[in-house]
Amino acid sequence: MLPEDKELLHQFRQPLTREKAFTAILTKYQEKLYWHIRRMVIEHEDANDILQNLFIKVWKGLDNFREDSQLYTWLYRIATNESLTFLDQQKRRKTTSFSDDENGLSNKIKADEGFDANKLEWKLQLGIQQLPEKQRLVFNLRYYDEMPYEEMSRILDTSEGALKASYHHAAKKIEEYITKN
Amino acid sequence: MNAENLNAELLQIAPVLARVPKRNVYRVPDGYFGELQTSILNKLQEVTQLPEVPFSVPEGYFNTLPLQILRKIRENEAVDDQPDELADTPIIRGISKAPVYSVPDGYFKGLNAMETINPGRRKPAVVHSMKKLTRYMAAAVITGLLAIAGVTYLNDGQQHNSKESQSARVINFNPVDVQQLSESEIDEFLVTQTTPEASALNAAANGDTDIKGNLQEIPAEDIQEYLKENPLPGETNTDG
Repeated sequence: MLPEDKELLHQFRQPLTREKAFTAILTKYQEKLYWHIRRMVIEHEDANDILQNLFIKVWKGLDNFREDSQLYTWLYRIATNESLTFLDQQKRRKTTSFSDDENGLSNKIKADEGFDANKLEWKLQLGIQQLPEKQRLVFNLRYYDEMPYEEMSRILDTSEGALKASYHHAAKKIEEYITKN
Repeated sequence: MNAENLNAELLQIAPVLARVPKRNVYRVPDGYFGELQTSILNKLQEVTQLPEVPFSVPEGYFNTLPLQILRKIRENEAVDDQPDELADTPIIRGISKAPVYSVPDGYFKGLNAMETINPGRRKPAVVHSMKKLTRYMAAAVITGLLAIAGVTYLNDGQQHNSKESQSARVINFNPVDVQQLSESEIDEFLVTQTTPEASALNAAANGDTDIKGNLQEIPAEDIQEYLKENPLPGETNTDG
């Protein structure tokens, strides 16, 4: 059983237990953060790069982390921002896009070795990629991470009401996509 | 909020979507999460071993920096506060600096238009190289000597031996004649002359094997112009 975030933060601030605390934070959050990033950027290599850079930023910035928010919220916020920045950079690099979404994410899904166009799970993934970035984030956090709107609101700096509406629209659009395809 | 509540919420919004199995379709390489920690810790070690900034500053630099900046600001202000040089001459200071001269209406506009229409018509300033000047001088000396010594020598006995006729040739000399001479004629003329100018030119010509060619490149007007500005000793200026 890993210690509570508060205890981990306290240990991180002590030079003798700093590395041990950091390793515990890695163990606790690496998978959750990986999947959060992976669902946004699709490809494993990209997700891996973003995740590694994220934890380096965490190491450098954790001393200044104010405990008025939860460590979990802070980590998700960084992961979200890093993913969006990555997608933005990709968008800028591509002068032309022939796919239905700006980053060619649908093509990346179709290129996955396990992709099966007839399976509902894959149709769902393609449906998610039709959403605007912010709606995609909201849908993923709610549907996969089962995150309460209250926490999501702290990560995305958006009111709970707006998040509920966003999730509602996202779910409707995806359902429509699945039904049509 | 638990998963059941979430599913109930989704059933209300999108019942078809609620029935889609929630399975993770993406895969990660085998053992990825097991090695991830080590991989991140290794990367961290690499990054933290690098100095944050590869440059160094003198000790205490940033402590004194604000004072240095303030001092510089004060120095600049002192320069700005220096008295106006025209402060004691209120009359001059009060005079407007607007141009008092006028130009014809649309002059500058027309000037630009001309420049745009005929960019190549503007005559470039003439810059004579040292080599060209030497050749001008040579041409001028030969021209002058020909005029003074009498062209009869070269014209192979075509009269003009009298002093009057020589003077007449000086006055009516046409530099085009020089260009009509052959190399051997110029050489022969220079060798037979004893004037200092001819000797100097003859010596110079020994290093230049193509006097005729050089002279032919020089327009007659240029030789005229040069002679006007630099008359040879004893030569009469044809312009009077």
